[in-house]
Amino acid sequence: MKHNNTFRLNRFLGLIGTGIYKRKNSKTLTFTIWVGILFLFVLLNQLISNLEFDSARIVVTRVYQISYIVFLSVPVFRLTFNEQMSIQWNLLPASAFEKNLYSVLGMLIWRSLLFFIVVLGLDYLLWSGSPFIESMGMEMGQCRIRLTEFFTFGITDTIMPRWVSYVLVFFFYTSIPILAGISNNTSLHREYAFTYAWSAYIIFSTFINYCFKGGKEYEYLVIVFGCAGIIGLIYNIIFSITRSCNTKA
Amino acid sequence: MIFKEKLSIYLQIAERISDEILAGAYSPGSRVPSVREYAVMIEVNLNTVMRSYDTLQSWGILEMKRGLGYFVADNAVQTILARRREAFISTQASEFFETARTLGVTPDELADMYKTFIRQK
Amino acid sequence: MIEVKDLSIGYSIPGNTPQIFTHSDDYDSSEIVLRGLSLKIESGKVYGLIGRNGVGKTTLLNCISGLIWKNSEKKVFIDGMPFSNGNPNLSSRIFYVTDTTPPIHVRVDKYARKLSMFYPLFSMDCFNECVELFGLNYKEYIDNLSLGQKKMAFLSFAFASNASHIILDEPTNGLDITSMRTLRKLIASNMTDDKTIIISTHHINEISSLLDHIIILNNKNAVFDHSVLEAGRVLSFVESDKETDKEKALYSMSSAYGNRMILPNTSGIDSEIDYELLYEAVLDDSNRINSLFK
Repeated sequence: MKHNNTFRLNRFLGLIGTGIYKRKNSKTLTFTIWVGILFLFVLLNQLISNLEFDSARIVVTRVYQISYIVFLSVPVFRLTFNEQMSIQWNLLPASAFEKNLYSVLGMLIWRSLLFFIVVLGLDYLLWSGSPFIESMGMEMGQCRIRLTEFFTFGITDTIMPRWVSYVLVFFFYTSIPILAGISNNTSLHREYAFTYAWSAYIIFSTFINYCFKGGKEYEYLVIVFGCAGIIGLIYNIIFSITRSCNTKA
Repeated sequence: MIFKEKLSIYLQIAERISDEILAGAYSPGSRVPSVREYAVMIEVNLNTVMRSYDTLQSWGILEMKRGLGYFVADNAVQTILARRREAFISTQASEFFETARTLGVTPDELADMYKTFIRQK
Repeated sequence: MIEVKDLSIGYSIPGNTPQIFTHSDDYDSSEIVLRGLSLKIESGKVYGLIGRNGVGKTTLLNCISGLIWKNSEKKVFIDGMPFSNGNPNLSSRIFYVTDTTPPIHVRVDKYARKLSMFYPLFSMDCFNECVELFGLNYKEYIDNLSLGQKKMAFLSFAFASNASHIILDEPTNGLDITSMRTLRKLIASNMTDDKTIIISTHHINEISSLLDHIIILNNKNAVFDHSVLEAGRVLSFVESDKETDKEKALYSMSSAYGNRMILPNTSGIDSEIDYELLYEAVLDDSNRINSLFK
């Protein structure tokens, strides 16, 4: 029993770690360009400092949210086990559930960590002491954006407890790529499906933002999609365990 | 006439180890490599080498001491020579004699040839 | 131990992924690779799997390794338990080195460490030993290695995994003479009573000294499935230039010195096996050869 649990833990750690490897021929240039784009976002942050306080904050938050999503989807970093390795991926001693869920989870975690370190770090380093910070009433050393605001499009404390909103929005953010990732037969298309899903998501969320501008209707939409996301996620987890699949070997 | 029937690998290995004992590579009473060591050395299946060692044990050439390994029997050399003498007489000698007879070589000529050979050595 | 029970695999659409068929499935419009194959592969033995190109060796190995399966019908059993992909308890007992090794952009040592998380008995010491013996560079990216080096890297992973069933598909492809010797030594030194090694090969002579058991595939099934020991006991492999011997032979092939022949073994002394001759004989008339075995 004890040995079994250690084995399970090792598989979990091993699969989480598969989210991190660099794709071959991903030039340092591409990475630099990406960092440069983020830098531009940070610059944009400064340029809009003469807007009204609340609008500025919302726009800044949206910009960071969108760049986060872009980062998650851009295949600069590729999973270790890509289509060239689908046979090796299938041979790896882990259940389909473990492989799909943990590797995508791992990728989300690693990329998110990287994003926060780079973006927020950059932001803090470059712009501490700017008039914009002062106008927001924040002190030096504080995060420029409050992380709570980063993760939500709007919280409705009157409808439900705060934690429910958090959970729903978390699923909203994560369900689409997991949906796209798990529903494919092999890891062959996972990376691309992931990217397409996220691109669609970016477009959709931007559209929603501008239409509803954080109004009540938008928040209901968030709740609906959050539930759909949960259902989709559960369905795909079950599906990936029970499906019968053959590998083109 | 060429009629070659090669012995199974495990028997060939047994003969090879016997050769090594005769050549002095392993002296009577000394330890021979373990089954695994020997198998790795000559790149042969473990079970095959196991069979060789078992065969040599049954012939009285090797002795197995529990926990210590395989050792060359004290009278291994004599045992090997006796086995080979018998094998020589029953197969090689009779083949040789058959060839000699076919070619018309007389027993006296054979005896002379052998005496000359011994003298030269 | 691996057991294959009544396995039939084919392609319902030629060129597509292979699928397992059962009796209830419609076979007619399909291309069958293996029909009703049953095997029992025991622990502590080295198995040689031979057959001509396209006969189904790789397909069989893919099935045994869990790459091809059907949830409703379990055809492969590992240590008595039905096996299909996705059961890590069982799939961690197998390490399969495929014929073509993938160009993975990960360093050799990093990949080993990754694999060690999935194989509970993985030994880094054994891995290091293999890498030294093969003369590989730990820090090299796998996709930068030559064909032979990639093979050696994966063979190192295989032995280091300490999986109880090591399956090698054409392991000698791309290996030079020295590496081939290293492979033989590794197979010889890694065998234990609870391990099984299955080697599929065209170059039977490269590894013949290591085999315990031979399986020959032909005509969509295993036409020869006997131990090397029994084959040597039941059959006699001789070389003779006497034409009269040829008449008694079960099968014969010309050679530089006369004829290589298989005769029933009446001398009571185990014979060395001429694998090429055995293979040709079995392909020619497997029933004639098999009738001599119990």
